[in-house]
Amino acid sequence: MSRDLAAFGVLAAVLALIPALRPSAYVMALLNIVGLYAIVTIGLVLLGTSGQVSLGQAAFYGIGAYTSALLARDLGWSPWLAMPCAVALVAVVAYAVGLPALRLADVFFVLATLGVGVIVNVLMVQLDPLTGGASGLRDIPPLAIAGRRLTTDRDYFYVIWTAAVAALAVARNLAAHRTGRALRAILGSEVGAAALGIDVPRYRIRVFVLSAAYAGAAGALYAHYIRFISPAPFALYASLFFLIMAVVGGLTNIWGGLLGAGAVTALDQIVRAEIPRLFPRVGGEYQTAIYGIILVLIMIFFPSGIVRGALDVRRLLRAGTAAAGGARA
Amino acid sequence: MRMTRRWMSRAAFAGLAAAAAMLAPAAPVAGQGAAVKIAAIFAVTGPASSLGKPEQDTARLLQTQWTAAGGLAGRPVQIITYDTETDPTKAVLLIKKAVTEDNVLAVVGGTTSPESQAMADYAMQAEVPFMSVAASTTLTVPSRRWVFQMPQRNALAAQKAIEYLAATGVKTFAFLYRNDDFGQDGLVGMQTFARPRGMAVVDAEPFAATDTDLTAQIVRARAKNPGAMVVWSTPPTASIAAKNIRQLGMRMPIVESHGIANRAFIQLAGPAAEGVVFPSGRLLVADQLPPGDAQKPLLQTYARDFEAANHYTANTFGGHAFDGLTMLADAVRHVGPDRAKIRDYVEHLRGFVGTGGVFNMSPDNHNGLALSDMVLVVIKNGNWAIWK
Amino acid sequence: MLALLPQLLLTGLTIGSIYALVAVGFVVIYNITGILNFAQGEFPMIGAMLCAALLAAHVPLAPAAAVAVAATCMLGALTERLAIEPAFGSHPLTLVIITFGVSMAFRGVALMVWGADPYALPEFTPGAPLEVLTGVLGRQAMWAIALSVLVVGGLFAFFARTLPGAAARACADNAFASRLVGISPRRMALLAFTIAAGIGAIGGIVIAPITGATYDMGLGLGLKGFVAAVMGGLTNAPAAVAGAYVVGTIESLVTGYLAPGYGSAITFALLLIVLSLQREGLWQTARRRQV
Repeated sequence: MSRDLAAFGVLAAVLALIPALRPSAYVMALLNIVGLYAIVTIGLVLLGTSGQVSLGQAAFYGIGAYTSALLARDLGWSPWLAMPCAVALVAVVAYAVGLPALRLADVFFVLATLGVGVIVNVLMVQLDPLTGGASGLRDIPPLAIAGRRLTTDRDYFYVIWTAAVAALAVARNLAAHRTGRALRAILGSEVGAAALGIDVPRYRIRVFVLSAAYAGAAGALYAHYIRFISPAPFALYASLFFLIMAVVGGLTNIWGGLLGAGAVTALDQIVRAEIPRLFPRVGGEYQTAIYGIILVLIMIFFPSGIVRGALDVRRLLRAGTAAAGGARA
Repeated sequence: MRMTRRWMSRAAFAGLAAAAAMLAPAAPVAGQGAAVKIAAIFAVTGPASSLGKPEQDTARLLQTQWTAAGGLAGRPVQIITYDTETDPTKAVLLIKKAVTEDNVLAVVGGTTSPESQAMADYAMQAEVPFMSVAASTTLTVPSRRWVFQMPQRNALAAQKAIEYLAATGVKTFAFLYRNDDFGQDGLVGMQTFARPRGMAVVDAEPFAATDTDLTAQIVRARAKNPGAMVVWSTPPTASIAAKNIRQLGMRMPIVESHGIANRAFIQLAGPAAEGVVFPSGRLLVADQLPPGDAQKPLLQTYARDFEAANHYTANTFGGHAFDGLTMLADAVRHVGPDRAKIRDYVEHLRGFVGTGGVFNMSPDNHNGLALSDMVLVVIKNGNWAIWK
Repeated sequence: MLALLPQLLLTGLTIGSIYALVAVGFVVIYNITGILNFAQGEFPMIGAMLCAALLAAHVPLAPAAAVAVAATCMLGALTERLAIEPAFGSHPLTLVIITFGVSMAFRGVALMVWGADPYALPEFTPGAPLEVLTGVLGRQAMWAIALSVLVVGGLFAFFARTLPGAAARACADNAFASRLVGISPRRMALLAFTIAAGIGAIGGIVIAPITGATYDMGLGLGLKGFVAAVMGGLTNAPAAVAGAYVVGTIESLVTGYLAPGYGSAITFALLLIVLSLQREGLWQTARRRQV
């Protein structure tokens, strides 16, 4: 509890410090994207605490983006009104999807969400008159505060990371209180949880809708930040990428969402920066292969994510020193 | 036992990670104080990689050639290549990286239209010359101050295809298109230019890039009795369409898009490729051009150099990257490494010979190519020939 | 409208034959190891690309195909040893994500080795298509259909008549009990990946003349093949092949009669319906796994 509070303090301090360091627009933009991904991934981790995994988050991310963009662009709504409406629509869609899908056993639930992801992406391309088709939607209005249009990466840094910290705080409170205990009980044993009087289906659908709403909110922010959307960033690859982030961070700890998004982006940066130095002749082709191999390695060696992996290593080290100390005494 | 095994494997992984970390701090490349830096941002991987890969390989080729020639205007030159993975979000991030961290002078790239659209917004904001290699008409119509377009626009290709249909007396045609920005843009172009010629698009059938058989779409189109079949895609689906049409015993002319301007189409479509006509730049038929042709020497040199440096033949996509980069080089030679001056220079560039055609830029035409820069190519005996 | 029907059904057969062998590969691995192998679509890719590379080196088609299949088998075995075996017994989701990683690795390496352009393979027996009623069926599609039947028959014989086959069946039934009688589930997993890779490679080589071969064909093929396998209940190879033909036919009919462009959306909508109606798939009533 207090450790979480301390962690929030550190996070807030770091975030407050970053703009003061005057990073380049690229670093700011990168952090903004990490922030958006973190929001999606925190939702995914929240879902993970109930023992479920989704390969459809990119669809919710995309519905959020398209809805908010269309409301603001074509109907002239204020983005501040369009975004909550987009999130509400995502929640409704997630509820409709979740009701039948959550009855499925774990792997089959993943497949159902994957199916939803594919269908939504086809609709984005095919509903040309509405969505602009594969060429995408241009000129999405930016956010504005008190009449000032937010256009720089730094402006969005504040907006996106406020949202990300809020998302984290909400998730933490859920995980630490009644809902979290219920979800952990479900994760341990569904039958056991039901025997304890926990309404398993209700908790499941709630957390699924919430995780979709997280993705939808991130998508809405994305649309007003980048100001151009097309179906490509919301395809199956993106869902897979979100899942990888969540899994790398660890599906059992909400901080895993943040760390996963950060770690995968950092890895991407290192791979991009280092490989051309080591092998000057290869281009972007190697990245897919390297990602794949790293993903396999992480899943083999840290199946519960890097957060838990690091804790385990520390515990082992501590156990080692304790044993050594005991032997000396 | 199990514990130690897991522990050992984790230790091994930690070792790997540490090794990776040690490689991380790298010395900056020395002596680039006055280097001319150009960003080349292409979709080297992902769905558009068959376009992005030759674009990147062209950038590498030019880097080698320019370095060997002693740089640009007496300065060292550095073409920094980036891979967007065909993701518009990554494309935006990379153009920001190129401009704010790598301090490039100008940007060439944006393989697909969504990537280019996303990058164009930032190029406008940061006031950096951006030479797009995507063909979507809306990229530079209306003109945007810092955005230039290298390929023949889809609209131009559509106009050329219509020219062929009109010349052969076709009154109706069916349009099969890949449902992405390329195909949807082509559909708009064909509809726009068919009407004034009194031609009708009797049917339009979309398909997905991953489709493995297009017979269902083709029989739907056949039911409308079109005088010709027009296909707007790249291989493999472009070839599958041609094969399926001939397999069904349909004998009408097949017109395809400039998306099939590579060897793969002929190889995949086999006998069905015979007689297919498509609009294209002159690169494919460079050797058949008359001796006086303005582009001929350039095209032959580019094709020869590209094939010597890579394992495959040059194609028009790499050519777009070539045009963007050489146009920037020309600008740097004339006005020096200054973004605003380069932009002004390119905007008024006239008679610039590239692989895509002879560019005549103006403030309200940031593409600068005309209908005469495209030729109609027909596939004959497994090879390309100029259709009279 | 009805005039289109024979052709649409034949087209459905062609599309189905493309998914069929991928679906069988899914089933073989799922049956024996309980793993959903999302890298299954990469095996046809590797098989077809290797075969095309050998053809380019002037090796005749038959030996080129044989070498490509054998090499893909070895890659399948290697995959199991390097990526699956070290995580043996992990949560099913962990293993699923590992197979996603494997598929990315294969795709990346293929792009490095073969580039992004599509490769062509020649038809086994070039010639005019077969005319059935008012429709046509390509010769290569007939090869694919015949091979899908042949492979399923071969699998049946292998599992019913040979000792390793019987061991694999035992392992599929009850891994714990089979270990008691000396069958190693790990070795069976190795066998499953080897066989599935081989089947995938055969599939890739037979469909590449129809579709062309590209480094990124695996993801699309894998997803469709997977839907087909789920339709067949995931545990029954003949049902998976039937599932593939059902998926192909529905895609063709939907495209032909309703809405072109929505093909894959419809396929996945179908997956959702099948999943929610009956977890065990359309034809599978018994819960017991069988090959």
